[in-house]
Amino acid sequence: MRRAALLATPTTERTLNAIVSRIRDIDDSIRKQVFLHSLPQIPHPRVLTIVQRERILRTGLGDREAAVKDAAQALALKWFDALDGDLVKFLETFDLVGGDVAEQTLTAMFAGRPALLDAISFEGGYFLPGLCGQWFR
Amino acid sequence: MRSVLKVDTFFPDFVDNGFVDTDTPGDYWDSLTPEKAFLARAFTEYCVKTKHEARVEAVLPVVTALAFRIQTSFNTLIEHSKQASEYQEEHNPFEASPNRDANWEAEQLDLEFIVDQLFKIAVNLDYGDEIGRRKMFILVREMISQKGLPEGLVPGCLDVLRKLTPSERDYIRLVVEVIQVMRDPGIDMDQEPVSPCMVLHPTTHLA
Repeated sequence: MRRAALLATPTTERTLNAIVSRIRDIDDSIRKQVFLHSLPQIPHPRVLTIVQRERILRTGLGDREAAVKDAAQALALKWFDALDGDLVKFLETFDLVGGDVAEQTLTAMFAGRPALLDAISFEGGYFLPGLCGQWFR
Repeated sequence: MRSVLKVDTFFPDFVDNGFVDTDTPGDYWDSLTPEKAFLARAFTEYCVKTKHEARVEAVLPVVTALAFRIQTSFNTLIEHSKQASEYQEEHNPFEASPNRDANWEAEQLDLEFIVDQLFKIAVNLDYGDEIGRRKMFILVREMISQKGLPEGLVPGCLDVLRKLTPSERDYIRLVVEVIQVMRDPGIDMDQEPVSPCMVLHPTTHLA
């Protein structure tokens, strides 16, 4: 799938696998396209399988292009917001025991949104470091 | 099968003195899951790495409270381990149910993972308080001595032990002691001279 074709292809159920397969494309501009424009169109992280999510993040965060890395970081934060801004819920979408992509992702998120660190609290049942920095017991 | 001692004799004053408030409903640390333990650990390490130690101190439990959590998580793990052996004793292994075994296996991994994450948090705490330091030391020293401690947890446990021993020399002596007692439970540590050489030259060890 070349760049023009990719640009013209909306991310849908049908096209998802083909788009995800491009995350390791040799062409920098294709990868940028995928991370900046195609993947953010995914309506919710749970549309993907755990393997897909992990592969996307691991590949994106480890990319040699800064633009792709940043886009992957933004994608992680977008998925986090889609999961109610609940870090525990977000972590449940990973295989923690099996690999270190969750670690990589969290680090990128803390770097990308420092307010997260300030809002974290380990009291009560759970916390919700969303935009308002609210948290619940 | 050798029964594993539960580590429950070391903190009798905790709950009685209201040291740890176990009445708080929905306390984060009361209901640890792999994700919650992981988050606390990753957060701690990130803050330490980026020189935000104050944040860590503000948000993590104090040493004695964390030690209590490690103890309870470890006890939960041991209880869960016992379930497997009890099941094996009652059932014909040729009739083993793969689903049940897989579930048990997954749960066991989760429980181990939680304890390991807590060890990694413990390594990053401030041990300025002598009482706290002592309690954590007694706990991990006991844990490392237990044959029931899963292999995967040994490195994490040793890391905490190392953090809490004043010098490398003391640390080595301590580990040698533990190994000697494990090999020969009848040994009276007050009588035996401790020689670090026993560890460094395994060919000369006791038969």
